[in-house]
Amino acid sequence: MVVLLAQDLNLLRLMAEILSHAGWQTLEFRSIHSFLEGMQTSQQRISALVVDFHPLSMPDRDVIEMLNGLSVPILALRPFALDQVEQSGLVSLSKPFQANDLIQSIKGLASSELAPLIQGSPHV
Amino acid sequence: MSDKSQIAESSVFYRCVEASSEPIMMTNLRGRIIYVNPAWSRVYGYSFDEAIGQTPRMLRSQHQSEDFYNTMWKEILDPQNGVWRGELVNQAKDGSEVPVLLTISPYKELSSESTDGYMAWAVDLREKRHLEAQILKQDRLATIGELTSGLAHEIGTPMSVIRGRAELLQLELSQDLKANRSLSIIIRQIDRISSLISSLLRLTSQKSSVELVAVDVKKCFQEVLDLFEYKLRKGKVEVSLSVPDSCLILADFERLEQVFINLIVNGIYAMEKKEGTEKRVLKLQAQASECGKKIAILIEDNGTGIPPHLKQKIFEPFFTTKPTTSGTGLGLSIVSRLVQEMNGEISLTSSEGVGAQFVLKFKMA
Repeated sequence: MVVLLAQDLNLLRLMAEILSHAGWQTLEFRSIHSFLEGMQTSQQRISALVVDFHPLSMPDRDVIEMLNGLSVPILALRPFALDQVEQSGLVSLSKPFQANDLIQSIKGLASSELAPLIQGSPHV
Repeated sequence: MSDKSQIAESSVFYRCVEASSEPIMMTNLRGRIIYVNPAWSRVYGYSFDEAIGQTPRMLRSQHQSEDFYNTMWKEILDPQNGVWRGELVNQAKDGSEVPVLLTISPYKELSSESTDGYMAWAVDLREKRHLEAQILKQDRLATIGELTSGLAHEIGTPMSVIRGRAELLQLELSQDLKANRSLSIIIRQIDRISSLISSLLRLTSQKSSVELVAVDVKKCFQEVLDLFEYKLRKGKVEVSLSVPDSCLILADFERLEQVFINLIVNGIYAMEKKEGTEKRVLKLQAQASECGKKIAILIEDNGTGIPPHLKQKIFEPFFTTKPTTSGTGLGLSIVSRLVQEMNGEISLTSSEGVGAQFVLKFKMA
């Protein structure tokens, strides 16, 4: 299972279709809140989380820092060269990306050791 | 203390004028030049002997109209004024333009009551203009940077969607060759926009921390030549690499590599554009300069060259002589920016139809 987190619906659907062609199942979220809620109830093992940071934000929290705290491989989508993401240490893919690059990035991340999505969460 | 006439008759004034760092010129009443100081010769390129007997018209450029000079002389000849002060652009012997702040006033011999001629004293404004142009350029780049950064945020997603959808359609319509060709065109055009935005971001990004380390010039050249092996062979370009082993400069390897790439791409393009059967030669050299404190790196092609009136413009963003489908006009402005970031210098010597020679100077490591 690959979790997709992006505000733009077209981008979400595109990534879901590309990954579906490559044999992945996906779960899509358009906001941080719905993502956090969804993860509380999800029983599935997550192979990777793809996040489009722009324009995701939370009023009182640093999104990158918060996601970095999750024990799941993250692929950050960045618009061309966004220093904020580059400096965060996350694996990133710049937009516009090639379908194959998205698939290969996910494969690379998913091959790393899987772990519960939210540490200490009883639901995962 | 000496009296006024003693000072005037001594050679002190003459020596002061000769030693002045500002160009000074004197004419007689008929407007013929009777004296120029060494600074004048230095700035305009004419020797003392070449200037004497000529008129100041020899310095006129296209920047001022005949009306401008008529008004200027009216003011000088008007007893109420008797002096003219203003900015104008003169032309030196080599054709280059020299902006100056000029003061023209009549002079009299000590014993004379009437005007004997005119003296022009100029302040060379080239350095000031250069600095102003630099500031303007920085302002423009900062504006472009802000716009690009905002644009990059907004268009990255729709461009991903267009590109991705085109790729998915290619999969679905794999049997339809015509549709596939069209979709390939869409993808290539998206990649072109993407490359332009990335170049703009690179040009305008404010990277303050460039770590300068010892970089081997020969190794950097060799890596770039490996990248261009096919292109050079295809373009029948002969490369003459003359860089001593362990030629180390203070630079950033990736930036230097990008500088070499952009200059070599331009060189290859200029040679391919040149008609005729002349052998295409790309010279890459490095040698110590400025008493061994710096290394001068030379990248020279024998392509079409750059016309003199474009030499100042080629480092400006969006300036290109290439067709719109082949160039973004950012390559050389990126080179200029990267060289600046590495505390280097870049200069260009070029003759139209003969070729272009870029010289980069960096501190020796």
